[in-house]
Parts: sequence; C-alpha cells; structure tokens
Amino acid sequence: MRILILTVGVLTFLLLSAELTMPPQTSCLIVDNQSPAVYISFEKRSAAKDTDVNRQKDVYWLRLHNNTSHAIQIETETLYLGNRVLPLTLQDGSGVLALREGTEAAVCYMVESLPRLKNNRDGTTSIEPALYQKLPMGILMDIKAVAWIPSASSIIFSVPAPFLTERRRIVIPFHFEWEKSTRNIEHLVYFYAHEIPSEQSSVPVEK
Amino acid sequence: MDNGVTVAFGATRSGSAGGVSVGVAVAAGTTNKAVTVDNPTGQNIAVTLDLSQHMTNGSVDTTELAVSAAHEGTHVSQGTALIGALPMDLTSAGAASVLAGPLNLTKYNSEFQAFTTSALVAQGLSKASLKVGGNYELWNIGWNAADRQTLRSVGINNALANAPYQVTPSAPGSKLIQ
Repeated sequence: MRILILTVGVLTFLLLSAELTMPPQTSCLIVDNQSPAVYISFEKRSAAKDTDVNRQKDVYWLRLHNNTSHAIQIETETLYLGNRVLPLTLQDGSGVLALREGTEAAVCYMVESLPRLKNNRDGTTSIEPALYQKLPMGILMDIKAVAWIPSASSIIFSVPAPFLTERRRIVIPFHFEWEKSTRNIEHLVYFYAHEIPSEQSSVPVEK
Repeated sequence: MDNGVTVAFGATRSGSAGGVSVGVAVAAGTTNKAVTVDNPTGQNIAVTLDLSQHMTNGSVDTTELAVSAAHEGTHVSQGTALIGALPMDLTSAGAASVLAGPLNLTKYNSEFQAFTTSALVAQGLSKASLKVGGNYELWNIGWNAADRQTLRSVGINNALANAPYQVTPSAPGSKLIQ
C-alpha cells in the first residue's frame, strides 16, 4: 500500500512538473465569431485600373478576410514591398512582410464551374459529372510570390466579371502560419457567383 | 547549405510542368533583408518541378526535364539578380530605385527570357521540336539557321499573348516586385 501511494505521488508530481515546464501553446481563435475563419466577401463592380490585356475592364472587387488570430499565407502574381507591406513576426519568431489592411493585390486564384444541366430522354435534367471542374482561367502563372495576411486583416483583389458567371466559383488556396511545410496540406476558400448581389450583375460598370 | 533556393518535386497549383515562387527573407520585426554567408542576397525562392509531366513511356524524359529546369532556372536567376540588387532596407529610397530599374522585369520580359532559354536548351539537346501551349512552336530542328531567332520569337510571342500569360510587348503585365 505504501509503495502504491508512493508511486501515485511520484506520477502526480511528474505530470504536474511536465505541465508547468511545457511551453505556452497559442491556440488559433476566430476573431469575429459571427464570420468564418477565412472568407471572401463582395465589395463592388467597377472598371479595372490598369491596361494590361489580362485585366478585363469590367471586374468584381472582392475582399479576402483572415478572421483568425494568426497570419495566413497566399500566393500572389507579384511580390509586394514598399508601402503595401509591414513587418510581421510569426509565432515561431521568424519575420515576414505582410500586406497592410485593405491592400489591393493580384491574388492567385482558380476558376471552377459546374457543368451545364444535361437534358435526359425522360424529360428530366441532371448534371454530369456533379463536381466542379477547373477552367483554364484565373491567375495561374509559373512565376509568383508568397504574401501574408495578418490576423484580423483583409485585402482586396479583382476578378474579371466574365469569369464569375452562373454556376462558377473562384478558389483561393491558403496556409496557416504554423504550417511550415506547405507541400502536403492545403486549405481552400471559395467565392461563388451566386454570392454576388443580384443588382450588381445588371448595373452599368462604374468607371 | 541554405542558399535561399529550395527545389521540390510535385504537382504545381497552376497545373504547369514547373513553377517558381520569388520571395525575400526578412529579419524579424524589421523591413530589412535577412542575409547569411550562404545566402548573401537574402533570396527566398522556391522551385517546383512536376515529374509526372515529364514522363515518356513510363520513365522521366530527361530532355523535357532539362527544358523545364532551364526555364524555371531562368526565373530563379531573375529573382536572384533583383533581390540581390535590393539594399538591406527594403523600404528605402534605394530599394524603390532598384524596383523602378531594369532588373524588375515585367511578366512579358520575364517569360520571354525563360522561353528563350527553353528553346535554346531544346536546340542544344537536338530535340526535334519544342511546343508550348499546345501549338506554339519555339524550336524545330528543321528550321534554317537564319530563321531560328525570328521563328523562335514569333512562337514565344504567340504563346505569351494567349492564356495563361496574356501579355504582349505593349501590355507587358505586372513586374516581379511591386
């Protein structure tokens, strides 16, 4: 009995010691409980600012929100420096330059579409296949950059309006800051064409 | 040795045979480059090559792989030159001056150089033909020597004018760093 009490006592002491000496863990929290962790919202429809041929005149401006307590990483068409970025120290102590709140960035995204309804011989309709399919459009370059969005921050980006027609969605891959190796894990955030306010699809484009 | 360039094998998000991500290593809490003896430029560049897109009859086509490696390697050299030219303080007037200069290539110039390298490697390895984007021929072993540069440039320009690049000399796209 004495040995049992001694053993339990030693184990309890070891467990308490281990707990006290463990480094503090930082949990990832949602900042605004009413919204998803990472999401895209509609801003407006207007003309694009530059004249590149890959920038359609008529674009939707969308906002990518990081509603978590940690930074997230996305890919952009170009690397941003200067007044668009600010220094940010990640939880592992490493430094990065993160996009400032509201910065306009060329975010890498893909466009996907649901196939059209198929008219069956019996008069019914069906979708075959019923999965979204990747379309050959979006910002998909072979040279790109990594950008960081700080906690509780957002950036804006544009998508040509013809890309987001009925039955389509855009997809933006992202990583959380603690995922040091991004090879085997990926998170995706979607924005669907049906999330565009209906009145925006018919209004004249703001110049 | 960590020279700031990482090469990995696997699928690229764009679905292309290879890709390069250009970045700068930054000292924590500052806007300064983080440089080391092994990485004096402060570059943070990641290369991905998709071997599954370089297969012929079940094995890696080393000529195709060499063409892709040369293409992506050109992008690495562009990034190294630009980041290496940036002063330590990435927000200084000196940095702005470098970013306004010729090392900060537009998408058109960056890809034109990379595809030129691809075509020259294909030529050097006696590849019969090199096509990108389906139908745009950058090299053909049957081309007369006097026509090669012209035909190569036509092929590259046609490839770049179409998806996914959609850039031309008059609309050259964004720069490597903005």
